[in-house]
Amino acid sequence: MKFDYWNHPLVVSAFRVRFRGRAPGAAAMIYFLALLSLGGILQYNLANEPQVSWVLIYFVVLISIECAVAALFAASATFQSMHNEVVNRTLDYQRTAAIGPHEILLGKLLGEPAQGYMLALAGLPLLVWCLAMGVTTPGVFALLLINLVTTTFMFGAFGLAHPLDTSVERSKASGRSVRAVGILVGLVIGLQMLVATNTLVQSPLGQAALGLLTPALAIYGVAIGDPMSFCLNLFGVEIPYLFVTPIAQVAVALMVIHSIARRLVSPLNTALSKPTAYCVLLVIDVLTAGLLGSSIIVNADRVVAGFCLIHLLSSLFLTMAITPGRETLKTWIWRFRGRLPYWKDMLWGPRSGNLGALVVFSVIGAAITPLVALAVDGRSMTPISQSDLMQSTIRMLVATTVVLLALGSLFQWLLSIGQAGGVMFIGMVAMFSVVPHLAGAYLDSELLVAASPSGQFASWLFQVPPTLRVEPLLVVYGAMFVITQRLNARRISLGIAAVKRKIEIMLAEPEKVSAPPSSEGTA
Amino acid sequence: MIDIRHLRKQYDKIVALENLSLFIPAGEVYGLIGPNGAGKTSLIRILATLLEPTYGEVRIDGIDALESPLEVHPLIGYMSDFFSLYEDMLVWEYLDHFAACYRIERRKRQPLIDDVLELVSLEVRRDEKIKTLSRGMRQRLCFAKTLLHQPKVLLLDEPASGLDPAGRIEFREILKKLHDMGRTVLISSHILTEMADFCTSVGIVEQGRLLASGRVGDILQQLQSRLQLVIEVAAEQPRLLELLAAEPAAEDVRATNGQVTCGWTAGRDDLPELHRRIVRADIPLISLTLKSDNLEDIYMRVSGHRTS
Repeated sequence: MKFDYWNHPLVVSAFRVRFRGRAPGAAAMIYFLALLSLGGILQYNLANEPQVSWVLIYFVVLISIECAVAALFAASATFQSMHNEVVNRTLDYQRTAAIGPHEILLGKLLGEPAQGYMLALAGLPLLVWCLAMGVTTPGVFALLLINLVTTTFMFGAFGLAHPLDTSVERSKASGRSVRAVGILVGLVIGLQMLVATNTLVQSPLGQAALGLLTPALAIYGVAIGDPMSFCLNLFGVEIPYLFVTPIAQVAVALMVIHSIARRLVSPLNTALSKPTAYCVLLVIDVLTAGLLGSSIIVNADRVVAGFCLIHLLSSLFLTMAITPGRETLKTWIWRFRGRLPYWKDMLWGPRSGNLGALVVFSVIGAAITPLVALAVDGRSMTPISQSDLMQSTIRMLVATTVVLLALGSLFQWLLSIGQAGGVMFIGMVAMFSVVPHLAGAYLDSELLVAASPSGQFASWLFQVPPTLRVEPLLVVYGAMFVITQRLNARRISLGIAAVKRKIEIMLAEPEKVSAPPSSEGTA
Repeated sequence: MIDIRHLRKQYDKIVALENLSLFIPAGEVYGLIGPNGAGKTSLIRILATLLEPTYGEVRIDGIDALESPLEVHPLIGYMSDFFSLYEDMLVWEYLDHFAACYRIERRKRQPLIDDVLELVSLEVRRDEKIKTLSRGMRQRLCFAKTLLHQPKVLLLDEPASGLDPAGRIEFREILKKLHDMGRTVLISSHILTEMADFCTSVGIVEQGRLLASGRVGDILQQLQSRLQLVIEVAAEQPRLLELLAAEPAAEDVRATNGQVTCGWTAGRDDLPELHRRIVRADIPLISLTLKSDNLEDIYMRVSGHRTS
């Protein structure tokens, strides 16, 4: 792919349309003056305080505002642009042009948030002034700017994730639902993260979630005078978030762009291919293992439970990305089936059902969970014998695997009957998981609590030693897996039989019609 | 040029296209006729690689459109039945945007834009905002966009639906030019009279199936089961009716507005004899005309006007 920023049609058009008849510098100038005034206020109030450096506070506030404004502008501009393209169907013309889907998306990402970039640039002189005042070193300053760029890039990529349904009403509705989910998730998770910032920063997993996806820890480090104080501890190697965050953000953004590009090629493609999903899960599991294995271990059981929880949630998320919907599955039955031997097709073939992928996700979990257990064995502050640790590891691993298989299989069934989308599935999983737990707690029924994944994980993570029996969960979810799998298999085998008959009839029909070979018409 | 085999497109429970096979040679202007919901738009969107069929093969200029959609894109010019425009752009900017999307060199773009604007008679609107254009102008601008990269195959979905009579005549002239240039055009419409004017060949689609396809004249000949006679006389119409009633080859004899119409099951060679008999009966004959079915008649006869 050849990418020429200044001649990219989407970038050029974005600049032409956005800045026609407007003074592009006016907003930037107002923004600059606002930031300057903020500096004045801080200087007026804090200049005489000997224990605090107002320039340092100003710098931290400036870089935080820059990150927030640029990210917000990038996400909203790319989302709005995609929304307009889908509703006006101009995206169809882009899709049939000679530029590839990745180029379309990169063009949107670089061109549409132009106003946000200008605002970020407007604040740059003030940041440089702070640097000149000695708030930090040029190296840290450069890394913070890289963090600013990658944060903008990642949030811009999130904005591109717009449904590609060309039906105007449905597209508007999808746009609204995506926005509603975004706001809800932002409010719920964002507020919870704000409330629990201290706890998050204390826990290695919370710290990683915050530090890998936002530049918050890097900026916090600058604020407390040591930009390298927050590090990602992977297998005992400490890497400052200042370095790691941009890499993680670019990786996430590229994954999002890759998945949207697949949809642009054909809206029937799943968001991720199976091999990509395996690689992503492997990376997440290895990072989680490295992170948990390197932290201070109070209780080895809990570390393994934490790993199982992350593995389960990541696997379910990836399952949503690789599971074919009703129409996609139909194209597999009609066209894609039989191109690869059955098991290869199940494991990495495009558009086949998700059973093969669920098995691979489970195998990845089964391979890494014992390694996590071995890594933490003997380092626990609460003594636990090796055999007890292995027993509880096997119990947790089996339970996690059964829950993953059952929920993944249920999702495939719901999609294949056309009754659920991703959001509904998340709701159902939450309901399956939490409702028996709450009902069990309310009715004081250990059986109900034990039959819910959230009850089991709560027990593994917070009870020492865990007291819940795992058998009820295995029975309920095992039965769910067997039933949904049989339903899926039956549905597919019926579909294959019907399609085989249909194809035989179709191919037997003579090709009745074709236009004449020459053309000397009336046009 | 366009080779479609056993195409099937199923949306949930609705089958939009059912076992549709079609070959359109290079240089043909092929019209797809059918009611709304017959599957015309689905077929055109599949050819434009915007939609994936459930089953079947599609080749454009020998390239598999399902396996290599990006290779097909430079070959096709697609125009949807929806005004897909950027309202805030100027007319030339819109064309420049898509010229760049088709990787046309910057120095070649302006003359090319001027050429296509002249072709669709929009040159005076070159520097105006798209949102100020009328419906017909927007349609023509979309058409100009489709022609920019000089595609071998044009896929036009209801292109003339927004045009006034003058616009349709202009559009027909443009299609004629494209035909002379050897371009292959697939054009869909449910306005049958215009299709007969535009197209060298037509296909009648209904419920996702191709009911008939071929050169317009051939289809008329192939599907015309009987001839229609229109006889005009100065007087003695009742005697003419009697004479025709006794004629075994005449069917459905009707008198309307001083004319008598009937179906003629015998051949054209038997008409001079009928003419002689009318004259010998002293019926003052003004004219005896052989009327052919037009495309509309054929379409109404072939189709059951069902949507998929």
